[in-house]
Amino acid sequence: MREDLKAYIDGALSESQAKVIETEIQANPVLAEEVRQLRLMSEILSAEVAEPTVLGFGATMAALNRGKKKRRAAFRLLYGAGGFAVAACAVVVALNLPHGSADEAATAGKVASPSVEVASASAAKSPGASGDFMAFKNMNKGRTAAPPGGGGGGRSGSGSGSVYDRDQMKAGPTLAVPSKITSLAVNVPSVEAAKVAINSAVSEAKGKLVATSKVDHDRVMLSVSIPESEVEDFVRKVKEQGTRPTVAFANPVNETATATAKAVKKEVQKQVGSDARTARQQQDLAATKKVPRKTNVTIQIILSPSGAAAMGKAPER
Amino acid sequence: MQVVRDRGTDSMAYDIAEIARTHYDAVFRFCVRRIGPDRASDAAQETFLTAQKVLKKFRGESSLSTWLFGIANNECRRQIRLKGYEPQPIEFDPDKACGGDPERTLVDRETLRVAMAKLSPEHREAVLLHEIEGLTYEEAAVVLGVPEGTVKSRLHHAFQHLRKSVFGGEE
Repeated sequence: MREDLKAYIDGALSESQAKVIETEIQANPVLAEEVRQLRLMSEILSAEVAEPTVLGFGATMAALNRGKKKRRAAFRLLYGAGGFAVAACAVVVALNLPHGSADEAATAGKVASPSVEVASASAAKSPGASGDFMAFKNMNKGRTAAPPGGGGGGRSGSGSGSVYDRDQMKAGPTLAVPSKITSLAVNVPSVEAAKVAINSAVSEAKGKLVATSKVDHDRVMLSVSIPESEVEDFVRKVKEQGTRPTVAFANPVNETATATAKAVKKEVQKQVGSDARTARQQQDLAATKKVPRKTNVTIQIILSPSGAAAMGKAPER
Repeated sequence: MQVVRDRGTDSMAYDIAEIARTHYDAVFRFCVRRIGPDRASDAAQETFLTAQKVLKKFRGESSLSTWLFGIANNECRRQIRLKGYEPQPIEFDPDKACGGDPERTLVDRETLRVAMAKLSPEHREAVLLHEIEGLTYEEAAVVLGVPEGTVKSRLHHAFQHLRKSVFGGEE
């Protein structure tokens, strides 16, 4: 009963419960006095407590505004990340090369099949053709880069036929030094013959062989620097040395990544607005114009000695 | 409760600036009574910054003020954990004294003030929310994250303690 007195004063009891309490109060003066005391204290606390002076409203409003700005900044970062993701995916582009058979592709990816893999990187500085993933990655730090990958895992290709994405190259402020990356895998009958042919192609393209190194016991990586205008012809000549393993192009991971990047980019554009993107691109382009562009493209090439069986299955060009 | 409907959409949207303008005073005063004027500004600001972050999750299941008091209460508890609990004495406004009721003169305000400071944090929270901030049992339960019956029980025990201190006698 006494436990409900405060609730009775506050009107928090049901009608039936309140009636029971009222009956008890009328019959019990001690209970009535207790109710009176409780009601007095409740009234005093409700009505007489001083209101403290309010402070800090302006600071809170400023902080809320900063919070909005932070969210916008984070959004810009997302935009940047989205752009980078798109660039990173677009950077590894496919070349329209003839695809080998599935068996050949599997062989090329795992066993020592005759293959040539080409991955070009920055024109300014070659990765040194070391075949070292980290060296490649570091060389392309801050730019749109993709590792050549071992055994074709890091390569990708969508069959677009473009050697590099020029628009993508224009997008970022780091493009004062062009970063043009391509990916190529070609099966060749003979690594040595392919090397000679590639050297010849490099000379014809007025480029230069930057470095040569062994990737593993039977594969060799070449790093060549080719003028931008000669890249397509050069790549065509490389393609003529053999056939490209299908596995190098059928990389669902990279296709998924590209799709994701496109979705992110679309969402960002939707929210940021095309005007903002255009302004950002214009700003970036303006920045790039201040620095002289270099026109060479560095390409990494991995050569492997062939297995006769694999070559027998490969479609000849 | 201040609800700002987003123009052009059916979904309810809330403008944090408008919410702060409407509710900052109440939240700040609640924080002052919980943790004192020195820490109240920080707590109130954190309350609205938190609200800004999680505003989209507010589904209107409680009133906006109740929701804000809940965030403020958590922030005050966090500050108490970090910096320790110092019971804040409530102050009575002499201009509001008695309010025309002569019976109120029978209550010694200083005794009541000291008794309030001696309440346990849980009992004090309940009294602050229900008596001073004017929340219902249900709203106070939401803010404190306890069942309504617990609020009722805490208020009962708190007032028995106050009654004993102010009027004497048994709890």
